[in-house]
Amino acid sequence: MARATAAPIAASSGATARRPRSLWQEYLPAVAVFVAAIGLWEAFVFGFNIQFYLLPAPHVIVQTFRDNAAVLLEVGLYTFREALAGYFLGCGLGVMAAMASSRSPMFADLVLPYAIASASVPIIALAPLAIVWFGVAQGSKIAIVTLMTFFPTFIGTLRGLLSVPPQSLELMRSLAAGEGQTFAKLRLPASLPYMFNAFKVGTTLSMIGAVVSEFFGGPERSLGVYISTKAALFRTREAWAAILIACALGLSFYLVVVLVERLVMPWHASTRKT
Amino acid sequence: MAKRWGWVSLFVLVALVGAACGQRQGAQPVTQTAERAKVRVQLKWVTQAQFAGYYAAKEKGFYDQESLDVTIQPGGPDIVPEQVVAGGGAEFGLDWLPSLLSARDQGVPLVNIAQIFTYSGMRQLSHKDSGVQTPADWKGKKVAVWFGGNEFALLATLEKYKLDKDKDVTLVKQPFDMNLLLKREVVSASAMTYNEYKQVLDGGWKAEDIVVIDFNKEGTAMLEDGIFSKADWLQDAKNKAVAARFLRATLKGWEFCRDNAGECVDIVLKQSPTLGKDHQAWMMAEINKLIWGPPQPTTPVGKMDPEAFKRTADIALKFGVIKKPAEAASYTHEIFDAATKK
Amino acid sequence: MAGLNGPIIDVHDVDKAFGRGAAVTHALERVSLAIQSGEFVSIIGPSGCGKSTLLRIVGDLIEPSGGAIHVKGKTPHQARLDRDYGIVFQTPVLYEWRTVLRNVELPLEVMGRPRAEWQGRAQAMLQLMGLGAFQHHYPWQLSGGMQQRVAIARALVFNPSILLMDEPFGALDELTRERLNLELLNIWSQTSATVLFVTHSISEAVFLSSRVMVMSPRPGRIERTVTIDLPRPRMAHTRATSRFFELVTRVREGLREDPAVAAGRDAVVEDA
Repeated sequence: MARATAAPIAASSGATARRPRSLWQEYLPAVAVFVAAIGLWEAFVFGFNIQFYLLPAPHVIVQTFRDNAAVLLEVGLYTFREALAGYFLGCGLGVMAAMASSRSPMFADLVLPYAIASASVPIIALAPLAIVWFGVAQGSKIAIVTLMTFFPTFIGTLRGLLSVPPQSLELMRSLAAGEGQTFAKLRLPASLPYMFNAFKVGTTLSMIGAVVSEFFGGPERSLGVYISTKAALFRTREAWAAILIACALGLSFYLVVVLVERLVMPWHASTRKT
Repeated sequence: MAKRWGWVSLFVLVALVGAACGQRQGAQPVTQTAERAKVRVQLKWVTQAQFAGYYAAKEKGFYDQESLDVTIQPGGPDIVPEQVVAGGGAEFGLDWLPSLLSARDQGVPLVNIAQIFTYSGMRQLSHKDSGVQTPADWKGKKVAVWFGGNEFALLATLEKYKLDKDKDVTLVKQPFDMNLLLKREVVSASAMTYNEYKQVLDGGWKAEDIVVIDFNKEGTAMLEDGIFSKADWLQDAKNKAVAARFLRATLKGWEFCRDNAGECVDIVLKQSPTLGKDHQAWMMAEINKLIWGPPQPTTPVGKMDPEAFKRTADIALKFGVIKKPAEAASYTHEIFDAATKK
Repeated sequence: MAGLNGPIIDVHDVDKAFGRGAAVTHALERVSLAIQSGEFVSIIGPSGCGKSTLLRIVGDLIEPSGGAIHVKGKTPHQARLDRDYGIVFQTPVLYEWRTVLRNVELPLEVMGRPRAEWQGRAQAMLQLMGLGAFQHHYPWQLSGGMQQRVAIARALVFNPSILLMDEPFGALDELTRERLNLELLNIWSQTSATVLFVTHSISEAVFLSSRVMVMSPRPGRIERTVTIDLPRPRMAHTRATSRFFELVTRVREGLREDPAVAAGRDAVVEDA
């Protein structure tokens, strides 16, 4: 009589219980850490008398942000639009390339080396080239961001499409499902978690890509040019305020994707509430 | 209760210790063995003939004669010489005057001890096909400049021609190559006579097709390469003497390069062969013009001309480089006088 | 449909070899069996004897190396395309992004039936199995036993002639397994499906089946067939009858005929 009980025999409900977490409980630790970090920063700057041009105190940055809010928002949104455009392009191409690769190993062999190469070339080398090819305005930045978000999306989605458990495929086969049906009803939904992972990674990459590529040339009213110009002029406070905007935009972008993920995949382990 | 006071007192203690330690930060004593002094100079850009005087002074033993061990630190795209000197990474730095004034305006205690370049080498170039002959023709077009502290001559020129920098032109941050101009994506791009101008010629444009707008002629030029140090470092008499020795040898180096341009090119190439002899030779010739003219400088080379200073300072104030008017204390003749007295 | 008078599943001298050359494994060697319509047949044997392979060959999920198989008078391939069977695996294989109801609807969806039909039949099936209350739950919210019941509901929702079951209760504990055995028999009595059931458990095989086929260790062959004449419907107390014990013993003997089994090489679950 050796069989161990694998799961409780569900007499009534059959649902596995899990302690519900309120929104407050979920985010309190992060907020607390944030507040503590800011406090530590202020104390550090004050205690060690750090010169502002090395590291401004948080309250100075906030003040500077308020004083320059209009400009910062303008340049921030300008760059954010570039990031967004490149993000959708890169993710879109990545997903399509992955779908094609999952159906055709030959296509996969063709694309994979280039995909890997695309992720290996540093922005520093690509940005000036992009400017030559796509112009100094948004085109080159969108191109860089597209390139940066393509690879993680491609690899993640491909992995998801190919990571289907064999028995799930056998089930489809037993029902005489066609390739198209198997793809739409099995492979695609099964790869959603992988795709969203890549989408989340892409949000931060896109902001970084847009800002950094602007260091190498871009319109004056953009975030990257703003940061580099202010930094060169010793306007460290403004530069930091701009960094603050960049962080805020990147974070918001990420959170939006997380929200979409929760809506699209309410069933997934990572987004379950109870 | 006691526990809380314990934490508070600990915090106060840490803050006080930190403040005490903080006072000493940045003031780097110069190491001296016998009479010899070790100093570092932070260049504004990568090794090239623009800094030939320093390399010559080192190579020909002028620094050595002044009992100085000089380390020449090349710069680059993300190196701000003011930050390096202020942070204690070098005793001397080279940069354009507006950048120095901006740093001072923000409270960084740096002081110009010598103005090496008399004239500005910055130009705005256009192709004659684009129809640009004067800055007024920039209206409605895309104009490129590097930003990062060198855009103010351009801004002053825009103002002179009554062009609104946001509405009448589109300003673009220029990468460190001339492709934007060569590809006609912008109608006008910044160029240094000693560097980018040659790149444009190498890119296939003929000198007679290039329209050159000269800020010197427009009266909006700003002073460029000058040597600066930290004010509190200079307060020490020993350091003042070291600075004088450094300047003396440096000026000797520049004089040498004026009279032996070819040899100086070779000295620079020895340090960095990247740009090639052709380019460095061009650069050396142009740099010499910026220092020695023609036209003949009205003040001795190295001594800050108060009028030229004022011109630059006024433009800086006008265009928001600095928020308060620049003080005369931004530069000093003291070191120059000490260097040239003997 | 041809073959109404003949066996619904007819397997004749089937071989299956995996690999090639020196690394070849003979999973099945000249296996023959015939199952009549409406029967409940179990195949029991030690691990690795090829019983799951045999099941998959019948279901056209694996190609045989030799021999002939007819399912409802057709090739397995045709039978699969005609959706003549439903299959239940050892793990529920439910799609986690679908609710219980949507999982059960899957076969009807794939078959292209009208939407209204899906919901109706799926719901009815779930009600039949006592899972109606959970139709909008996700699989992760259900216990292992319940998930397997959903899998059975899915396999039967489109009323296939044949039900292939590959150790469906193997991952569950003894108590759940016995309960589900009863439930399976209950459901089966309400359909006219023929069941081919692969299992490790002697008592399960005897309890459920009309016939138990004992398979030898690799390469698999049908060693003996034990006819189970226990009356239907079978209840919990059937397990306590002496006839039950006799039949279990007969099956066990069939397994022990092979000295390798007697040496206890492969574990076969026995009731205590």
